[in-house]
Amino acid sequence: MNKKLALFGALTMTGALFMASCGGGDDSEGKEKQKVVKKTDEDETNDSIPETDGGKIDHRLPTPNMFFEVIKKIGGQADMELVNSVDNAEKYETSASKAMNFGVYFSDLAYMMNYGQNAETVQYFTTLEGIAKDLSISAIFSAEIMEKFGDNGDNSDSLYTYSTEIYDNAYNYLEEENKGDVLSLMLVGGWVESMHIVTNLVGDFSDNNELIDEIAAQKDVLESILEHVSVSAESNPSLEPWLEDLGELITIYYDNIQNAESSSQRDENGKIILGGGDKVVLNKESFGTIVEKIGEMRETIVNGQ
Amino acid sequence: MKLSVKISLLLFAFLGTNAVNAQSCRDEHTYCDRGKDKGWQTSTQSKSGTFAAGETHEISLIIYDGIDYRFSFCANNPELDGQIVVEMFTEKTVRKYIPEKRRMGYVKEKESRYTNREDEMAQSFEIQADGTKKIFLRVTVPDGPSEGGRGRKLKASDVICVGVLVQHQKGVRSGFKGGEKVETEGGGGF
Repeated sequence: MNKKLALFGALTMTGALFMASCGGGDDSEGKEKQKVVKKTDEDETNDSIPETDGGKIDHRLPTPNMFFEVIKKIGGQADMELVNSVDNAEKYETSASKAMNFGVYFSDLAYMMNYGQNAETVQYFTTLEGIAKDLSISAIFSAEIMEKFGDNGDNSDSLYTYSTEIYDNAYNYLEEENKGDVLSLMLVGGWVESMHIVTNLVGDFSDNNELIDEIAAQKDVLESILEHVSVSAESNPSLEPWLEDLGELITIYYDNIQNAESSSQRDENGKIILGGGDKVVLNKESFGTIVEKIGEMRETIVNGQ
Repeated sequence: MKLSVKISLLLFAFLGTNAVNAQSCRDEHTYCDRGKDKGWQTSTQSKSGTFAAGETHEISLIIYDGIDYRFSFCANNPELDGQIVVEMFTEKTVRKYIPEKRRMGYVKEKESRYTNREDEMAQSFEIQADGTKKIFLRVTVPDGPSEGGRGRKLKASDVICVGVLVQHQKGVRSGFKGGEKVETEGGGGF
């Protein structure tokens, strides 16, 4: 296992063993935790995390559009103060900060579109196009899309379609051009921004809050992004710090998993209904830690650091 | 002489077709069956790829709570109509003692939740989840027609474009009344 994954392993294992010791385990287990928390060598870290697939599985991720569609459906409100100002775009000088903030602005666009803030979306489209040009991926904005956007920029359904097409183009183009590291940075930026927005819509913590449930359910998305980043980091070491941050977050998620009996049933129309499996239930403390970590990561990203 | 010309033309046409297929493989999913319902939207999680005969590939997808999803599978080789094998898994994260490592650790355990081998080789299916989940689709191109199937046995050198079309639409929460229980055995299949 390489150093990056070992580091991720160290963070995850620390959480796992901490949980074990808090769970009333026997003395030897507690001692082992104490011993391991101090160690970060590869021999220790190799053993305690689920193995990554090493890039063998193609992890497909839905657009932020879909995420915000769900958030809106369960009562998330519009708060345009939460998005990153387009004025910040000039701060982003490195390719990495441009790629990450492409993801940020794309999530902002998805959020605004879902709440019908169409007037502001024009600036975000233009900003995304500019960043794409800087990253030499302007091919993802086909002339056809921009022309249609010009004609239908105030139509929510059309905007949704165009932005989905751009996301799809970017995803496929970067994979085909072997720019997986750029895609990883975009995915991290986009996910952190989406989480920043939604965690700030929650308000005070409470049980049975659907927004918190959806934040908890992001464990699966985070895992896929982590897989993507861990593969990309092998060729681009600048991704390592992000791997550490995401590793800290996944530890919190793993520490709060409650497994439920899996079930598969068919409804009267033959549709399969999947139930059970991993379910993350966040307590107030864990939720607070996630909010704090997301806040730190977001600040670093939008400040172009 | 005429025969050799015909063979040359056929060979050229075959090689030419394969070259075109390789180039256009990324769009194979756009040719998959879209279902009769007009409400389905194509998901960006759709994927196409190149397979060799007998090869298996796996993709993971995120399915959101309260959204209906439809998956359909297709290939550019008509001999594979109805022959693509699909199995769907979910993952369970468990923390347990790992004897060989002599410590506690997290382990991912895959659970088979559906296979079209037990569904008359259906080349599409619809699902909804009771919460946002990650699923894995393991797609296999057989190296020849199934028993009673038509067509020739595929060669290892055959290059096949396979598409996985993912569609979604806002779902109505499904109830289980009158639903058919899907058997699960040891966490696998139904």
